[in-house]
Amino acid sequence: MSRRDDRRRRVEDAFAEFQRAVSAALGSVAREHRALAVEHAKDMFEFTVRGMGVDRALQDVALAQVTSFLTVDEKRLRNPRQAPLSMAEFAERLAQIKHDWQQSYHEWTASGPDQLTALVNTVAAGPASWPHESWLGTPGTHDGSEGVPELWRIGTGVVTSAPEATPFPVAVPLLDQAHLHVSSTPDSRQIADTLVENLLLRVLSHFQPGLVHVHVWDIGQLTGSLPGLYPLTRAGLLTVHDPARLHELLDELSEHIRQVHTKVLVDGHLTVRSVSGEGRRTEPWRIAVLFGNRKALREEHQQQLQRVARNGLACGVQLFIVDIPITINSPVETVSLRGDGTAFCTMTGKHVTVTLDPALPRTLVPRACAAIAEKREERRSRMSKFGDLLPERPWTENSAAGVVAPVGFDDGEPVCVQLGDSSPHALIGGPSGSGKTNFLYAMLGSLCARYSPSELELYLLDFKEGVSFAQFAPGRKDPSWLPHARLVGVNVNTDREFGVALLRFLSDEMRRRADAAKQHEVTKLEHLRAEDPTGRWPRIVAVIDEFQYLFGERDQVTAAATQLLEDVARRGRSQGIHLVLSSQDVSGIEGFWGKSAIFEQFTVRIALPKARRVLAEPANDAAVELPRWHAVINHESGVKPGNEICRIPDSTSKGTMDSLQNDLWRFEPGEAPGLFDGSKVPFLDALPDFLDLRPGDASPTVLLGQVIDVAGSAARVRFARTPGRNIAVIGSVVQDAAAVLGGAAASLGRQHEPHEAAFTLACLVDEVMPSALHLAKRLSADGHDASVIGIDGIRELLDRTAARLQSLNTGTADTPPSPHYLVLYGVDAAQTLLEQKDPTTRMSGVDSLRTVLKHGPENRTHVLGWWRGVQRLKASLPPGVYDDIGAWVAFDVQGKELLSLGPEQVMAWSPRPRRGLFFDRFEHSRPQVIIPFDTGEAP
Amino acid sequence: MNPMMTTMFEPVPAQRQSEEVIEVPAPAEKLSAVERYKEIIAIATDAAARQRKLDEVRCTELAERIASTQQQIAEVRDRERVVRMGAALHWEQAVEQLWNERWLQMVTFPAPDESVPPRPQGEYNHAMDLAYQALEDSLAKRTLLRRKQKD
Repeated sequence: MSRRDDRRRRVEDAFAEFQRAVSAALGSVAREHRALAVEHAKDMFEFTVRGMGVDRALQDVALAQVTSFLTVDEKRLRNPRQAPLSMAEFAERLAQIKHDWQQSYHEWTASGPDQLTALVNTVAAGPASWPHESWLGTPGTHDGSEGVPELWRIGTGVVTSAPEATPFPVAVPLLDQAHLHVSSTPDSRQIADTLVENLLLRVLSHFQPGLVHVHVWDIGQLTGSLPGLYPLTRAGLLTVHDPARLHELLDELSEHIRQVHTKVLVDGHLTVRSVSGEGRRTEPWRIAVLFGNRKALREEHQQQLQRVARNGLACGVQLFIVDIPITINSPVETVSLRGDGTAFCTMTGKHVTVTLDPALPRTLVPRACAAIAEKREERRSRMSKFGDLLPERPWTENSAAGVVAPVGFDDGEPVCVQLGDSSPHALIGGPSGSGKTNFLYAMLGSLCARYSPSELELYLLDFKEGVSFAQFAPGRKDPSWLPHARLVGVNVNTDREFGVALLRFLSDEMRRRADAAKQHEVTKLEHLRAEDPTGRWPRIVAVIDEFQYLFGERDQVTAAATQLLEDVARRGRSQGIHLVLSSQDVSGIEGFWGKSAIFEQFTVRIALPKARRVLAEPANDAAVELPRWHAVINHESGVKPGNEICRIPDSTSKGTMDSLQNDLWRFEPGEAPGLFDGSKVPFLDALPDFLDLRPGDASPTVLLGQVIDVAGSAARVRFARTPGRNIAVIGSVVQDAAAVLGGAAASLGRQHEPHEAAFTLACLVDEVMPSALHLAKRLSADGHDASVIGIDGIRELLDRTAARLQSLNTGTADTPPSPHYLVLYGVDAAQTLLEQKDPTTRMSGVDSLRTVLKHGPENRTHVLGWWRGVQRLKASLPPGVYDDIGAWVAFDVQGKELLSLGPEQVMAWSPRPRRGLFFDRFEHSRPQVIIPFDTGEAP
Repeated sequence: MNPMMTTMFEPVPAQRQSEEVIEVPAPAEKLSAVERYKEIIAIATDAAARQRKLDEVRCTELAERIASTQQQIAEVRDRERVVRMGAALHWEQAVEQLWNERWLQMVTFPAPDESVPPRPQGEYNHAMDLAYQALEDSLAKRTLLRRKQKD
């Protein structure tokens, strides 16, 4: 072609090449720019997602959606804006983030929700966590012995920050473990009410009606809150408090806590739960629901509420605090409701969003509460019988820390009496007919059914003329006895010495225990038992009914009794010795109201209707209003707040205590208790001390009667070969004298081989002849030489005996002295006869008698004589010298008359039927009261 | 902890010689349900903390990268502006020079071609300069000839 065309082509080529080069240069730099921008955008994306938290980023509107104002951008219609999360460019980064997320939550996702579900199902079975269909409307049956659910369901939780939102149950600890604090917003208050109602119904439906009491206080309204629970009020299970009277509720709760501390939390227990142990819950829970208005309470209320919160859990007081700002220094779980109805709580922390369970069906809640109330009423109105006091299985309790047993029922709930280190002794008061015996039976039955005889021993003494304790000892009609009873004293009446004897026995036992404790270097019975597990250290409960008789007179018996009582009352507590004193009228006992120190030890006070001075009057007059068959049980020395009023079941009619005794006796009778019956004459031939006598002792023992002591032992005099070993019986009643002389001679006869000893029975009073003949027959039957002489032979007997003694003393006798006992009935009747002097020797029979009394004992010749008066006895003795009569028993003689024969204590003696005063100047410092034997002589 | 440890070692050396009973601490008591519950919840809390830590570390790293990338972007943006300016300048001159070439079908400013193989930008810039030179040369020859003819 032409050159022009050629040039054009070259220009075109160069231009095209230039265009390409421009494109390339521009393109290269643009691409570099874009690549950097994309990388930057990815980083920004990741930065945003991670900075926000992937869980939130995924929900974030700006990231997850395309905002509308951008979509209408016309320029972008062809290339619509994409949400960052769905942009392909970021897919890789998002995948990495999600992978990290999955990895972090791997353990939780794999097992967390499942474990929580399983845990809640395990510890909160039944109403505590199950859906309401399975329980609402059915009153609970649990009594706490199977434990308390550790968690109570409130809703469903989801870990919002986790990759997988698996729901799990949310539950809170309640009873005994933690209080509940709920805070809501005005929008979510309704949900807070629902939460409280649901929880209350779960708790109320779990336990037996009556084990949970609810108190509601709402600052804003009296009756508006928790309307569904109202049927509970009629059974006393729901108390609604006045909005203006929060202090009353708080006072009530504080008082309850105080009472639990003083009465229930004894012996080192710190919580009611530990007291109840594995058994039935003894103290009902009190749930106090307080609805506030998000404003702080008044300062004093705030502080009191804090105190209740601090001490309440251990005492079964549970708080549900709604919308009251408060700092609580004790375990508490908090549920905080947000305005949107969701919640977070301290059980689950901030990562869990809780959706509370929906409200229970409106119609079913009141019905369920009505059913609970009805069941409660039914239980309350059930007649609580004696059988209800008894445990399912007998003798399972341990008395190391004390004994506690229900004695009656208050609204169907058992009320207990407790004897232990902190409440050692009990005082029971009630006029006759008020049911004292019934109460004692109920208490003893309840105790004996719970504690075995190796855990508890009873010493029962009844001064009254009734026979209230007689059934506990074997009788003619009923051979059974109460296995726990070691001693039963009935008809003690005027034998106040027996009360002293019992106190002395207890005092000695107390000392024995204290010594044993000292050896183990402990101070208390509880510790001694721990140190000496094989030893037998039962707690001893000594019951003295109508004990005021013991202190009835101003004499040595009262003085001794007071002193011993003080000793036992003060120191018995730590040695497991407990006194239960009961009386018709405590107020009359001057002897001890002066000694308040004694009565301070009697911290358990039990008042029966119309009892006086048992409770701390006049402030505590509960006994005045008390209906029949009821009692006030007070473990706080009778102050009013300690009152517990209960109904005592009938425990005396047939089929109650008697049948329990029979059952226990069949179960394990043990040894029969010792019986002291003041109306019975001890039978010589049944007395262990008599049966134990054997020949062979050089100084035979003379048994004169039975001493009034716990062991029922015999009063003894030893006939040693020393001067003064003669016995005088002083009194006018033949029967008494014959019984003493008969018993004495019979006991001597038992200690000699046949024909070894001679008995001469001188009958100087006609009436006594049958007794003398009976005795002679008895002695002859034993193989002894027993002769009975009349008044006509007395002079000759005495002269002969005196002459023989003279010859023995002067050494002219050819045979050694052999035992010779002169039993002289009515010596004074022969006084005139004996005063006559022998014309030849100028000696009288009285002289011979004095010689026998003076020189006989050392030569094995003893006089057992009966004189019908003190002066008459003195007439037989050398003037002013009475020591030839070493021992004497006085009957119907005034104490004053006996002064010359014994110590000054004899002054206090005043005669009473079938009782004698015995004094042995060689062995006694003070005289003893004895009961003459029944020697088997026909009346 | 190895559960065997408690049985292998006496927790309290037997030193007291009196009759006092040496109390060996009881094996850890069974956890209460509340404690167990909170323990399980703690798995989630720990996971959240772990994730947050991970995110924090990564965010710090990203923040550094973002800063450096922004720096690079600023640089490349400058470079791009220079290239664009150079290209625009060349283009303007080329258009001016081509003005007289009435026969030539004029085109718009070339669009960037990002598909070019990756090479240092300098080479492309140089190539652009050369191409412009070549274009200029292709135009200049005719003038020279015509002048020669005139002469």
